[in-house]
Amino acid sequence: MLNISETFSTIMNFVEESKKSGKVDLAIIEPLETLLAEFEHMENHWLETYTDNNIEASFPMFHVSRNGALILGQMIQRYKTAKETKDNPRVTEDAITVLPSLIDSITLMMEAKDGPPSLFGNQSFQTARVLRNMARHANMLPANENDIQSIPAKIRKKGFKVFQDIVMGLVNED
Amino acid sequence: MKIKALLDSNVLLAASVFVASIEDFDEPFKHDFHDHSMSLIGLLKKNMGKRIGIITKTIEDETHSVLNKVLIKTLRQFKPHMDMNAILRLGSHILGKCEDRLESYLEILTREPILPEIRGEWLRKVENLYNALDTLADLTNVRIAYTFEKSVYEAILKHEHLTHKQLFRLKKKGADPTDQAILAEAAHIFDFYSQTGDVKVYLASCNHAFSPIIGRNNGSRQVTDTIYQKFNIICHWPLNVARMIRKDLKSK
Repeated sequence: MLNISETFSTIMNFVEESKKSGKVDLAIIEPLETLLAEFEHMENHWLETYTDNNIEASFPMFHVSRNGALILGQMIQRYKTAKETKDNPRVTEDAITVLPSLIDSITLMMEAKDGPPSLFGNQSFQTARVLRNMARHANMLPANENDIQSIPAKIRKKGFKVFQDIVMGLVNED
Repeated sequence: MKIKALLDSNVLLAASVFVASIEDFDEPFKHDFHDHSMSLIGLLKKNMGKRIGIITKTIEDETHSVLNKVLIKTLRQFKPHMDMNAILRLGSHILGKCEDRLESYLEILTREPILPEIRGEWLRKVENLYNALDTLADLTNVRIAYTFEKSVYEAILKHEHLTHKQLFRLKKKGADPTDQAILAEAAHIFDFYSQTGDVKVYLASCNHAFSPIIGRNNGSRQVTDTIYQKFNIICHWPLNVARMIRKDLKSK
């Protein structure tokens, strides 16, 4: 079984070394990919346990894990291309900004997986917000989140329309 | 004179709901009041050094909470047998994009610290104001019903209802607890800044609980005017607040 704290320690060691030497060791990609797999595993877990009755609990968790996976994907991509894009040591500085929020995210999801996730709804929305915010400042949000183009057009259209209608209903309701 | 503009949660919400480049739509996916709200936010950003734009924790929490609730409500509209992976990914995408925009606006606004006990003190005054407005709505109804002859009743009634629409709306819907808390905080903010000099406090809102109902003959603004008389808070729609602030800045 994956030891999350060991994986994070390994990543942090790479980050520290890279900070000192000013060079990127591409060996960091392996533990980052291990971590990405864990976030994707969590994403699937919340998808599989999602029912109409536990939306309030499962969706926020799905949202955290999905964002964690997207951000890690971007981090890996930046490390992979750091040499040719001259993204070093910037990529390491940016990784340092985001990693604590990733630790918070995975800790929260592990707690929620063990306990009733309904207790963590609001907290997970907040965790996802902080995570995205950190990633935004550190340029770790996927530059092009066009993965939504892989979502069937029918669902996309309905989703945007329903969301827009509900939010409009809240304002100027007279 | 200091100028302060408190942004209601619905203004932040309207500004946040925007996703450009969605190929399923001819136009960007956005809130109807997005452009109006952005007019104000743009002005506040341009004048960030003057610290005009403000929010409170109540408003910030309310905006996040409403966005989350809207998203959950949206997800409920899909049948469970559908492609849930795609639906949840879409939900996460929409929420993420709206939150990103919201966060970028929060960065240019000053969050005013307000202790719960201070809010509590002002809340009592706000409750008194709403009780008085409730009584006024009852009295206005009685006056309309008993003052006019049957023959002119319909026409007069129509006119009276248009004039008092904002008041009757409040009577019908009641004062929302969050709206009361926001008004209490706005009242405190005016009181706080007025102790150190002249200040003008605006409350930008897309809610008729604060902002006047726009219409002929000055629309309906009894509640808005009462709030101003009692607490010196100028409530209006974001576009109007932006216009008034521009005028204030020019006359400085």
